[in-house]
Amino acid sequence: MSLDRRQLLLSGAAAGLATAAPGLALAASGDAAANAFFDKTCVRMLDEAPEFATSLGLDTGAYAWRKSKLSDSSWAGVEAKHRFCEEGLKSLKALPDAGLSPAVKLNKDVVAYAMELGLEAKPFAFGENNFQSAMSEASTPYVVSQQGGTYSGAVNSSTASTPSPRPPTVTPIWPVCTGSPSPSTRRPSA
Amino acid sequence: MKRDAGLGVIAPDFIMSNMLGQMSGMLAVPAADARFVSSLAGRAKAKGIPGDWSGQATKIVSSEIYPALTRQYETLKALQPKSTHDAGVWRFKDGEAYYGWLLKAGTNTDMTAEQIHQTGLEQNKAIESRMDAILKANGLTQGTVGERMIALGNDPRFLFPDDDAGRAQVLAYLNQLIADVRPKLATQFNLKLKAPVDVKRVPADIQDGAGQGYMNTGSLDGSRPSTYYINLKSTKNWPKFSLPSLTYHETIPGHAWQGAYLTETGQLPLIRILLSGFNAYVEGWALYAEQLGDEMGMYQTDWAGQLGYLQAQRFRAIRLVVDTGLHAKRWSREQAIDWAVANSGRTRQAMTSEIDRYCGTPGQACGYKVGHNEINRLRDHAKQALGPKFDIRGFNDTVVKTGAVPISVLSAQIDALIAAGGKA
Repeated sequence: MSLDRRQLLLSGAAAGLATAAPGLALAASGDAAANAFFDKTCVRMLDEAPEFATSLGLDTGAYAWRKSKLSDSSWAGVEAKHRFCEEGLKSLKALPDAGLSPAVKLNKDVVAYAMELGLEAKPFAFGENNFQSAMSEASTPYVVSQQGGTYSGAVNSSTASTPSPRPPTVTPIWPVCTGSPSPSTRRPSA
Repeated sequence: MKRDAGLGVIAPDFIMSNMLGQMSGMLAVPAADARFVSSLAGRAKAKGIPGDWSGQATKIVSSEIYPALTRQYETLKALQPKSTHDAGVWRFKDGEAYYGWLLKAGTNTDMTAEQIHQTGLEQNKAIESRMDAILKANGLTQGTVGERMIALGNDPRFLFPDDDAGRAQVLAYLNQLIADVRPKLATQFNLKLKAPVDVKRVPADIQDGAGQGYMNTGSLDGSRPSTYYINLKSTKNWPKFSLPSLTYHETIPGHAWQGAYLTETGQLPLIRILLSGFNAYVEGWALYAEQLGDEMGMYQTDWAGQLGYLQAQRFRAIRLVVDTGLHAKRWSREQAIDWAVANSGRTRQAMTSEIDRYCGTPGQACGYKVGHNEINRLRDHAKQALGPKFDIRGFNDTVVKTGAVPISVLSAQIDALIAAGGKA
């Protein structure tokens, strides 16, 4: 992708964007509970993917510990991601649509879709098939391949000359997705 | 890896040999020269941070990282004899259901492999015949469309000099394209976004490993504009006619416009930014932006640029065919490469690396064109439902303002637009 999503994240995070966006003046009764859940979800996602948090600059103050931690890439880590989705979906069910403003309802639908998608990968218990891989275009049957693996990802990000925050799981060694008919690229692009 | 191998999940032989080759290449570099070490030491030196960074890092690389990498290499090597030439995920247990999930993750729709395959075949043909007509109208009648496009790409009248003067010409041309399209955006959007874009070449010292073209979105506070990087290692990679569509895709009204909505309005909460991996929406929009370039009349006096646009679109349709071919229709790697070469008019080398990529991340490459098709489907639906009240600006604004979402959610937003009488 070229709307460099990671870059976007960086800019959003650097500005300290909180859960409730400004400008959504028409709050409904259920909005506060939903927004609190979204906040909690953000913290948990970033805690479980500390490299990602670091790439966003969200590793200071109370979160300074994220600097020196790596995410759990073991099978237990995958199971934790499935649990994260199960628990999240349960919490979302407790937030009836009727109490939500249209903007918050939209956010709820998006989060629910992502978590359901992640959970639907549960039967495919190999490779990288989970919530996180689905949200970073990195789902694959092979934990190591010519385009992904911890070493190649680390080498790439350690040598990038411009900040290039990457998704925490599989990081492409080359070109994952250039859509333009020109030869490939080192990271998701057009 | 061993666990997965026990489940019968082993990479195909061509990926296996590729990986082993890469890994032995990495291990052949002395630890002191590893990129981990040189990168850290180089950056410390550049910032004047004292300390023996090189020595410390070398020790970690030689005592921990290389041994781990060696173990991984040996594990793969031991699995290699079990690796087969079958490329698709159909070969795994529940392979069909698994590919269904991968397609859902890639396209954020419930389309089946068969539907996606057929769509790809139809669009490939439709775009090809449009290209054929334009080529013929300009006196290019001999050979397949792919062959004629290759000839066009080597035609000196479309090439920039392959030196610094030529590079400067490319950058000037890109700036010109952006300046020309900017005033036309008022015909497509009511949104008033500044969306400033800096055009730069990928720095020469990293261009070997860098992408061909990409965007860095500007900072949220607006202090840094979006930067559109183009890799100018050789200007021969960029015949002039390939640049307009790439520019509309990456900058305005494509990714830079999407990004500007986020950075200039701050309307999306963090959770939506963390969960923005809805590729069909993000890339579908960029392909739709290429189409808007055509619809805004940017090619009225540039038939070659229009061909460049169609060639880019066709390539995304080809992806639908080969990805589903490999993983659902049991195509071999070679069959997929042959089909892609014959239809794209691109080199075997380029198509081999593309196909290998689709083997590694199945379904992902389908997101671009499916997302584009879905945006067009929703536009047709809104047009039909709203009749004379349909306003392209209301539609386009709604898609941008919705932010990255699965297609079903976008569809609900378009329904709301229709219910509101077309006013975004």
